[in-house]
Amino acid sequence: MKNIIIALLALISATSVFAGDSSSGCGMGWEVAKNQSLVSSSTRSIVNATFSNTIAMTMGTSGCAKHSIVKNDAKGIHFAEANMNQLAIEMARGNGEFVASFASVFGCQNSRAFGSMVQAKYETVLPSESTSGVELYNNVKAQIKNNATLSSTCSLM
Amino acid sequence: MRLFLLLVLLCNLLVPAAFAAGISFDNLSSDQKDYWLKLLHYHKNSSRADSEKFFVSPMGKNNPNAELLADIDVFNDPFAKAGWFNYHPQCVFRERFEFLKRIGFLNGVKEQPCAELKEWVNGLNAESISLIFSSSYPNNPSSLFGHTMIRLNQSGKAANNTSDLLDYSVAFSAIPEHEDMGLVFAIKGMFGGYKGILEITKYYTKVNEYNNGESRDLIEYDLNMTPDELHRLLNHLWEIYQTTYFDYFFADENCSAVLVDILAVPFNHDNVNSHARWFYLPSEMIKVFKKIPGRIKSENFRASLKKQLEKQISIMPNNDVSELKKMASLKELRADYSNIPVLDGVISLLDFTRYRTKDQLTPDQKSMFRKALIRRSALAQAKVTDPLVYDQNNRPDLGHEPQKFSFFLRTEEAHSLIGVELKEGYHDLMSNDAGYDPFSQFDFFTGSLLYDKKLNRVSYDQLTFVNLISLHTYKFFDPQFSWAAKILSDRLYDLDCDLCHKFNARAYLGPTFKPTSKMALSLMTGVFGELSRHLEKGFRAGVGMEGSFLFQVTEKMKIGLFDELRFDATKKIKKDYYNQIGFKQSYFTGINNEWRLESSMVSKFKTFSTNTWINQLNYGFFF
Repeated sequence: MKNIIIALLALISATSVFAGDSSSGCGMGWEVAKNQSLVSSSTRSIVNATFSNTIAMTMGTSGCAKHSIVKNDAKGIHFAEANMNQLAIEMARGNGEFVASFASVFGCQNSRAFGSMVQAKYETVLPSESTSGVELYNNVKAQIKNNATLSSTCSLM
Repeated sequence: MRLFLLLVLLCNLLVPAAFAAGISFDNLSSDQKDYWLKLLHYHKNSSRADSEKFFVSPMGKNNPNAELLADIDVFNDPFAKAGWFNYHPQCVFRERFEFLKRIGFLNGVKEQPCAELKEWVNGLNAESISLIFSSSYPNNPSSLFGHTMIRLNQSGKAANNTSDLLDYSVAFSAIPEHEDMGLVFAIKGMFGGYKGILEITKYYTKVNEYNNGESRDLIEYDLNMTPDELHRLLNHLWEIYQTTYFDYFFADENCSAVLVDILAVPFNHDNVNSHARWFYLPSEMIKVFKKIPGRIKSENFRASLKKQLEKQISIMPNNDVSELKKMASLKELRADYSNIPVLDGVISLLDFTRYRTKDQLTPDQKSMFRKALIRRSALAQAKVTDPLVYDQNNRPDLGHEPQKFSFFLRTEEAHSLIGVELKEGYHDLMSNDAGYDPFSQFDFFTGSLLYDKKLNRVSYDQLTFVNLISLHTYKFFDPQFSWAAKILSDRLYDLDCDLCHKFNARAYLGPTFKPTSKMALSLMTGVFGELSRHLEKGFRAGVGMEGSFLFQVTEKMKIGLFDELRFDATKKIKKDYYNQIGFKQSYFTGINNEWRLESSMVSKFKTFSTNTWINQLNYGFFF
């Protein structure tokens, strides 16, 4: 009986929310199946960057990895890939939670100085709308090296 | 004799050594039995884990004793392998191994190295956890129940100046095997057909997905927990992660139901997973932890992208808002433009539009977005300010329980009636909005019985399968209509017919405006259908419209005014109509208690003259 009830509810309400979802999640999905997740809707594909299999497996983020711990040497790339939208906005403002987190993946304790730098070098680190996460990461890394304050204080450089 | 020896040999091979040593499930203490069953995810004599790799014994899914004995055997076997990746069972079923060792069932066993597990635990670097509740997806009542996950908080965040975004999150999610659309998806979700797995990802992916992509608030509950509880949780997460999926059912084996079963392992004395109802709601998980003294350390509210934009606009002067609207539709941006609040507003508006339209900004919008970002980067660095304060009334721990039982006294013209109503769920427009999305309704499976004193008859009053109303505010940055849909059987009041019923369905659409956060004004129109043997042709169908005004007067009182007009298009649509107008008041005497006064008038079919006056006093309690 309960299944009938829920089915009726679902017929009414499920059509839109569950349609067209695509997931880039990690875990045992490879063993079961890939593609979708019931708990989110179709926006996931644009909010999570789509990682290539090679990059994802290298970073331990794909479903084929034995566990989904992001390897240290790829944390920055993963972060940039996944948060391009937020980073593009917060870097233009020179401040924000995502920029502060981006600073920390480079080991920069002074997120204010980091924010100021990426804001000042905005068009250099994000030269176009289609700049990839890897490019952003490498561009920022290069700018940190060129910055006297940050290059000496960011521990992971 | 040879036969006898052969039988003895076979018995030795088939009977686990642990059994031979007198170890059995029955010999465990009550607490130990309970813990073992939690580790195996048992519910009513069977485990909910559905991969055979989760069990060492072929009978493990239904026989906890067989699993206990088989586990002890493989833990003692240095060459045994288990799980997806063929690690040693001691490394795969880590919490089972440590539990059995703690209670003395594995004395003398040689411990195997578990490098992968150590790497995983070190990578997570967790020192505590937070429960994360995601509010519903706006204008989508099927997500009204919300969603839950946990966050593994890294150690030393404050010292290292790192944010929660870099933590890992753990969620239980169903994985459809194909691109199933609506109906197939829903049916499979109800009756089984999808597999659910643990998804472990960086928390920033979830913040992006829920906060930004779906404009859902994230409410974070940081827990107090001991190192031992954390250790056992990680062990258990690992053994699930390495071995099993769960068949996914929307009602009682969903994202929160499985997650709370996992949490029942480290918090084994807190009775967090009682599963008292036939369905399990995400809010239930939060509420149970909230009730445990001292378990929740602190709470944090991450407002959705939409709320952030609303707040940003609400604190701008009117002329800045006008300028923002104008600029967002332009192709060019002045090179010397320097009004930072407006520029920030344009950026936020276009960002929200990008998510709302699923990355379908027009070329002009894309161009303006890029120009606004570049221009903004040339202006002053944003200051670190105090966090903005958001309305947090939708926190799940504030809400009433989902099921409701009501008593009512009613008059229908000269008839006096008394009745009872049982609602399985969940929340309606006149209920207390604390803990829920304001002005939302998702009622399902509700039935009422009444006694008509004058007729001396008992009858059902109404049976609701589903009754949904989503009053989504129509705003310039989010121009979406509200909608309503219902399928039920209720009373026929516009004809002279005592205790008559009709099958009643409708689907309406229209705009809603909210002059303040406590007020909603809605006008919807759409189609309806009615079936009843008391109707002239046995049915009516046509166009209907409904206007409603809702006002949360105080924390304890809400009023609503409703008017619905229906035109029967199967006959002369201009003449065949009826109208129902009603005024409702709710008084909340506690989170789970409310009184309602309702008064409505239904016109006589084909006229606006009164056919039936209905007055009702109702007391209901949620449970």
